[in-house]
Amino acid sequence: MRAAEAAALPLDLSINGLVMHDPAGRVLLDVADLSVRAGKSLGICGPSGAGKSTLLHALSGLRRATSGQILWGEHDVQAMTPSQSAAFRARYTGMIFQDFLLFDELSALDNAGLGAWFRPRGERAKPRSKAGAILRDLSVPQTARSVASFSGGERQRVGVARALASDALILLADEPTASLHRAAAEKLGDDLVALSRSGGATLITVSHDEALLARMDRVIRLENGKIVAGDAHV
Amino acid sequence: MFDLWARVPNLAQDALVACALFLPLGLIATALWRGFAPLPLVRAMLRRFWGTNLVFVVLIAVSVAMGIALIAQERALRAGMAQAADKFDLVIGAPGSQLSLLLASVFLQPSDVALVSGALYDEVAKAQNVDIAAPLAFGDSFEGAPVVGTIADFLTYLSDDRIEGRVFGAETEAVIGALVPLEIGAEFSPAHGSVALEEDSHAHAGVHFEVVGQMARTGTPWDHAILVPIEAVWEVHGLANGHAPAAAHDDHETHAHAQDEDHAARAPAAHPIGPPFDPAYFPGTPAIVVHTSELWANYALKSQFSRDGEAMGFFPGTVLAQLYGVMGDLRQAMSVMSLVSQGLVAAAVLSGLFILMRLFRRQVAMLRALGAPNRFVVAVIWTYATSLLLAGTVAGVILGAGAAQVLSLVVTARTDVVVTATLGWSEVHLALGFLCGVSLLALLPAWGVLRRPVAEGLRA
Repeated sequence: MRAAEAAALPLDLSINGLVMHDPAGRVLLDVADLSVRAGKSLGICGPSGAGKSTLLHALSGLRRATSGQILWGEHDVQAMTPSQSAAFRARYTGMIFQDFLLFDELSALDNAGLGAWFRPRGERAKPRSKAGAILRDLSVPQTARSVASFSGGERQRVGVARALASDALILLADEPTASLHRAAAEKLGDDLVALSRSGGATLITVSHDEALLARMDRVIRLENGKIVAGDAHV
Repeated sequence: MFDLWARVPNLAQDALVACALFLPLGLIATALWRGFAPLPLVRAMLRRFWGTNLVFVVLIAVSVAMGIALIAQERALRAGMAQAADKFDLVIGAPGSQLSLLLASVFLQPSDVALVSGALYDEVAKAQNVDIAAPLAFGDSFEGAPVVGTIADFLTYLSDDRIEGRVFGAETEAVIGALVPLEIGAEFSPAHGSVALEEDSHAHAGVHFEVVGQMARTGTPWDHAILVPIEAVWEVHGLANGHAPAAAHDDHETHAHAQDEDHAARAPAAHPIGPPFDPAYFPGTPAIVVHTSELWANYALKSQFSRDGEAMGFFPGTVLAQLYGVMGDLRQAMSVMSLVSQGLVAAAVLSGLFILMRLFRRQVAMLRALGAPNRFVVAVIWTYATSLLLAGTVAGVILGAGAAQVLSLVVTARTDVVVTATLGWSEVHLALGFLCGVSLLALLPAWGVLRRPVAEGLRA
């Protein structure tokens, strides 16, 4: 199958026989079967050390599994080389981090449109303008001042805008509301789900936030690297 | 290939070497930046830990400045000394140390040198192609300024005829160097002895000179000298004045001088001064500075007046060149030390960059998590490191030039040899070489970042 055809297919997630060990041989993840249709949302909960973030990193190709497959449509991220994996993330995924991971010295627009800087000159305008549009939708002030002076909620909305600015079809969020107060967390949850749905993106969120998890199409619970609750297919 | 390079003009050679040193930097930047826009992130990184970045820049600047100041100063000192010896094509003295005679005649440093006879002086003065054969007489001083006895033609030659007032025309007249703190019309009494032998010095009481002229600045130790007719120096030391008594205007006074052992109590007599001198009444001179009408004649004269046990002719420029040759090893050692110190700073900077990369670890991991290509990540880190290096190098060049100027002032004040340090191609090459070398090494921390797992970086 040609790359162009693969890119046109919906990016359904399909995990088969995924096993991951740490260097000491301890099992970190053991997910025999999990699937998520494109455009749906999945919440992952569980105690600390259950393997939630590890699963998220494996889904983005940042960590290597001992065995098994993670297919996004026709793309097996575990079989990719590091540079192929990076290109896949740049093209298809947006990531949202618990503590935002912004460049404090840059403005909201520069942070949200950061992905444009590693695109050829002719392709930079679109993600920058989309970043600006999303920031407007999220009511983030677009001034020249740096994001260092922003509130936690504003900073995380900049993070969301950054994840969506490159037309990501996959959104991977790691505890996106953990650093926010309740009101800001509620608003961010609403915005995140609404924007991912309107853009047709698949949203996978690791969270302890019950309110956020309640907004997901489905929630699974991980313990000791295994799915112990929730529907494995949605 | 070597022949072709040798045919390229010096300026073009220097410019080409500079371009060659800068080329790797340009090539790396072009290769890394192609299709990317790393500068906004580089600016953010520079602002993130600006204090640490500033320390880096200062460290690099001081290192570069030290190397540049040393090289510029050493070259300026050589140029200054060569300039000081410029008017001294050929010096003839008694056999002995050429270096001592060089120090005495060119640099006016007190030296214990033997005298050449009047007969030899006469032979030199009458030799073919000799324009000026200037005898010198040392031994007196005034408030630290050496009083040197010589002839009027030498003054004109030494100052290129740039004399305010006039040359001396009588034994009681003096012409001062540009930096002597006296004015035209002032009178002074010299003291016997030099600054270096101050404890032995005593005033020539009753001997007065009037300043009738001042030489323009020559940039040599002679700017601090007071030049008087050589007859006056001889006479105040109780010696014959170089002329037969019959030639003296005041025979009675001259005769009286010859009888008086307390020469310090007498004023020099007034009679015609300057060459020709009578060999029989010529007390001797430690050095004859010779200027010829033809350059080649210097070689013939040097050969003619290099005689065992009688005379020694030498070119001060050659002695200086030999001195530089002897000091060449020291210079090389200094250059190596300078390079080693810069290498150590480069290693320190490199270690610092690795540490800084740990501070930026999460940001870099985030970039990679977002799918930034490795080349973009390397471009950001390398450009950040090279920006620090570039800023430090530019600041170092400016600082080095300033330090060289200050050193020049100090050396000028201490040696009376005008030393003017200016930036040359050697310094430009040193700075570019440092910049290029360390910026190449700066690829290492960038490469090191790519070897770290992204997931670990996100959790750091």
